[in-house]
Formats: sequence, structure tokens, C-alpha cells
Amino acid sequence: MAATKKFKFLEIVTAEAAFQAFGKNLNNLFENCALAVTETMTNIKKIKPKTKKAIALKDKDLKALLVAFLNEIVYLKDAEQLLFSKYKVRVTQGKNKIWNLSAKLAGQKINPAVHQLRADIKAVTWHMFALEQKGKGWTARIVLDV
Amino acid sequence: MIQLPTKRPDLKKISDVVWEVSTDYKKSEPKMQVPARVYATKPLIDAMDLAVFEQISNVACLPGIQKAAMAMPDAHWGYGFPVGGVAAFDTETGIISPGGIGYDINCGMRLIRTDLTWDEVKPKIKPLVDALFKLVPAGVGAHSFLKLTPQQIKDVMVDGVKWCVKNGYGWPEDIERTEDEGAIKGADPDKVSAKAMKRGAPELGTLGSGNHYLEIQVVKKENIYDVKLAKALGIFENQVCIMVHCGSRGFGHQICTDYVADFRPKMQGWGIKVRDEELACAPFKSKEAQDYLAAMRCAANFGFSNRQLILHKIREGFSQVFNKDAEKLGLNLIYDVAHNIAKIEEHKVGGKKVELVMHRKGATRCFGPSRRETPKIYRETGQPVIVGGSMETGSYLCVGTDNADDETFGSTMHGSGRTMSRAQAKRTFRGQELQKKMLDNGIYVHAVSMPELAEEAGNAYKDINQVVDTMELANVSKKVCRLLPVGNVKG
Repeated sequence: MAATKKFKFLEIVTAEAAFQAFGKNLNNLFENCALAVTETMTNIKKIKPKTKKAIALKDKDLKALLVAFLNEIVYLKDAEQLLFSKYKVRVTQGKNKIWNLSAKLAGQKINPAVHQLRADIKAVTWHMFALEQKGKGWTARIVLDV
Repeated sequence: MIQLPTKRPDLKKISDVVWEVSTDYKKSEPKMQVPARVYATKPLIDAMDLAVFEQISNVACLPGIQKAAMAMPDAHWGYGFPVGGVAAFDTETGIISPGGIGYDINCGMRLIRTDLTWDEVKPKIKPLVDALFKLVPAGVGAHSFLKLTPQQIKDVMVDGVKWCVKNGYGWPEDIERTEDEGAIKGADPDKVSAKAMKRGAPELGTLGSGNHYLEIQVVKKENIYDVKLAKALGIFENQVCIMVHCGSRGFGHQICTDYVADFRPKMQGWGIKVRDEELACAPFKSKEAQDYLAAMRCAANFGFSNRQLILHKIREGFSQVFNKDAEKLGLNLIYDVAHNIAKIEEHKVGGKKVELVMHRKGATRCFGPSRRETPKIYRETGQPVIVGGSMETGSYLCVGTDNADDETFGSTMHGSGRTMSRAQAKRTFRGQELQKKMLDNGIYVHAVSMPELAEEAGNAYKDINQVVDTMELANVSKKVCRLLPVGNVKG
């Protein structure tokens, strides 16, 4: 794995889309998963960071926190027609063992003339889900229902 | 975590089209409660995705499952359940699993007949497809032509197609030609999240994208397999029909997402272990399960309404292009049937009638003439089954048989089934080239997204003839006719 590789697409589920993402820490892993979700939908380079959005989530299960975060991105695509190209994520664990996420997103409204659709994601699934710490870094495997 | 399958389990041949994986295949906890059965001809079973055997065996480990976990001949690797999966659970001891229904709750098919022949439509196929493309919103971000209040959306959730007809978006006869009259009882909008409302409400009456489509099709003489049945269903030689494939859009996707997140952390407390986290489920009698069922029914009624509103626009489009009322063009609905849904149904298990929670994910209900759920108008023929093929190779109209009850809990295939991953299809085919090739072959396509079009190339799918023949040989569903595509609107 190249040190700078953010994610790679996997061909493991016939009807769906899947990827493996990497991160030097948890924050970075969550950001790279978010980029992979967006890249699954469209060419991320065509999304201008014009509109800002903040997401705050908490969960006692780190895996559920990641799935919930990525599902928020899918939700915003439908509910507010927003796609994002910039993600700044902070994941921390409180004394009560609860994981907290605060994320700042920047992107723009979908413009069909610019943002050609590759896949319309319905949801982030738990099928073959993996979230692991590998040495100092982290990796995750995600299957998306498209 | 589920392992990538590397080999097929031992299969016991039950008949030429039924293959069984014994409960010995998974003996450690959670172990298989019942065998897994795969319906397929020899060529189809030999080519079957290895993950199908793995996934359907995992389903066979779920609490309260009855008789066998089943995979239909169009089955392929999905998430949790295989696509093409059928499972029946006891209402007392069993579970309900949102992933076993799918994120696109009430994804389904609708078939509309016309009095028009191909000779009459052929000269106008391009303006017709273009008119329908304009009238039926498609693709990501497409919005409803309706502006409904939150209360009206709630009415749609409860009254489904009946709401549409009452408000002028359909004909009274459309109601009985929709599964469960397009309004499944027990839907409760209070069990639907505000997020599902916000995400889904603007998408009512839109086609969506992916493998969803609106297709103009032709019935050729040589493709009518049962003349009597065809006549009874309003089908004739050289006739033009319209097929619609779509679901409950973001509304259903969000409901499934919400309840998977709700069930997953609670399973330990319920003492339920699953072999794949996407099989997250709740004991059927629990409050959580009942809440999900009530919300799922809202999405199911939303899905029926979505296709009903699209039919309303189709009638408008035909009327514009042919300058005639839709009634005079004979644009009658043949049937609308779901293929991602949970239903409470009575079936025989061990010679006794019992109430079951049927899960059909990428599988179609196919009741015979004797079932009380079969609409009165189809008591002679059996319930129509609409099988959507690839946009290049054609689709089928079948009917259910009375034998289906005993064989598959009254379930059959839903399409042709993917063989090629979406990514591989995109690498192999180019949207523009495919569009041109299809035009050369007499199919005019108007699509929003070219990459998505490439994913739907005919060669990315199984041979649909083998698929429908499997279920005919199993005496589960019977072929009426094959429908060949001539025009296609795609998201």
C-alpha cells in the first residue's frame, strides 16, 4: 500500500459498489472513507467547495459511528442535493467511552450538467464491514448499496 | 466477519432445477436451522455466484426460519441476503430483518398494456420516448411534479394508490390491479423518521437511477407462449406495452437505514447472533420489529404510489404523442408487484397452515388462482408476475401457480440477475457506444447518465430465458409472453 493512498475500489459484490480506505489516524480514515463515498457517486474534482455543512454524531460503537457518518453524506445527497469535496473530521473518545464525531464539509448543490452521476448510493451497508487498526494506521472496508 | 467464498458447498440434487445445501454445511453457532435451496437449471447452477450459497446458508441460520432458505434462479451476491432470496419466519419464534427486504423497500415492477400495435408506434418511437423522458423525472436530484404537504405525504403512506386515484392520478381499476390494492394495511407514519420524510417526500413520482427504467416493449407472435392466458391478460400479437421498474426512492432507503441502526446494537440483548452484520434483525413480536413493519408498510405504499404517479405521466405522454385520450388508447394497468418486501402470509408448513413473515428480496410473490390475495380479475389465470430483464434482451410476463405455495411459499424470480459487477460492466462497455448499438438493434434509449447506462448492458446479466424456464420447470410460475424492448427511459 502506498503511504499516500486514500482508498481503492473493490469488486467484491456483484450488484453493489465497495471500497477499502486507509488513514494515518482515525480522523484521516473517516475523511478518506467520505471521499470514497463521494467518488463512487461522481468525479470529486468537479465539486466546488462553495457550501459548508457541519455534522455532529455520537455512538458508543466506533464502527456504528463510521457507518452513521457515511450515511449522513448519502442522506444529504438526497435531502439537500449536496455533494462534498472537502471533509475535515475529528473523532474523539470521551471519558464515558462514547465516541464523538464533529465534521466540517464543503461542497455544492448537484448540477446534473457538471456532476455526471456514476452511481446513486442508497445506503452504507454492514455487509463485509471491517474497521481495523494496522500498526499506526487504520483501514476500513465498506460495501455500498447502489 | 463474512469470508470471501472460495468454493461451492456440496449440493444435493432434489430435481433438475432444485439444489440443496444441507444443514451440515454450517454446524457451529449460529448454525443452519433449515437447509438452503437454490432454484436453477444445470447451466445456471454451474455459473452461480459462489457468494449466493454462502449468503443463503447464512439466512438459513436465522431464528424461526421455516422449511428452507431459498435462492431464486436470478440470484446473485448482494449484501446480507442474496438478491433473489426468499425466507419465511414463524411469527412467534422468528424475526424480521430489514436487510432481508432491502434498502429499496417495494422496489417493484409495473406492466401497462395498450391497444396500439408496433406498426402504429414505430414511426413515433423517438418523440414518444423523449416525451416520457421529459414527463417522468429521472436521475439523482430529480424532483416530484407534486408539491405535497407533510399531511398529504402521510396520507400517501397509509392510502397508497387509493390516495393517487382519489386525487386524480389514476383510474379506479388501477387499484385492484396493484398488489394489496396498492395500500398495505398497518402502515403507521408515526414510525417513520423526520429524516425519511425530508429525504423521500420530494422524490415521489420519480424514476430514480441505477437499474431503474421505463421501457416501451413489443409482444411478438413467436413470443406468446400461452395464447389463452395472454388473451385473458389483455395481451395480443404485435402489441406495445410499457414496463416500469423502480421503488420507494430515498424514503425507503432511509427507513431501512434507520431500523438497521436501531436493531444492530440490540441483538445481543435479544440473544440473536448473525453470520453477517447486515442480517441485523429483531424478534418479530418485539416493539422494534412491529415499528419497523409499520414503517416498512409506509414505504411499500409510497413505492406503489410512486409507480402509480409514473403511470399517470405515461398516460399523459401517450395522450400527447397520439393525440387521443389514454382511455381510448387502452392504457390499462396489467399488474403492479413488489420484489423487495416483507408480507404476513399464511402458508402450509408440515401440513398445517401457519402465519409467516415472508421476506422477498429480489423475489416476486406469485400466487396461483386459488389464493384469496389474487385479485378477482385474475382468479382464472393466477397472479401476474412481471420479470424485468436487461434493457437489451427483454422481459417476461408470467403468472403464479397454485403449486407455488408448497414449493416456494408462493415466490419466484424478479429479473434476469447480474453476472458482471457494475465496475467490470463500466470497463467493458461505454454508455454512448451501447446507446448506439442498441439504436442499431432497434432500441431507442434516452438516459440521464452514460456511465450508469453502461452498467446495464445485456451481457452484464444472466440469460433471462434460463431463469424463467427454471421456475416453469419447478411448476412455480408459468410463462405468458416475452416482451422485447424498443424504447427506454433511464435515470
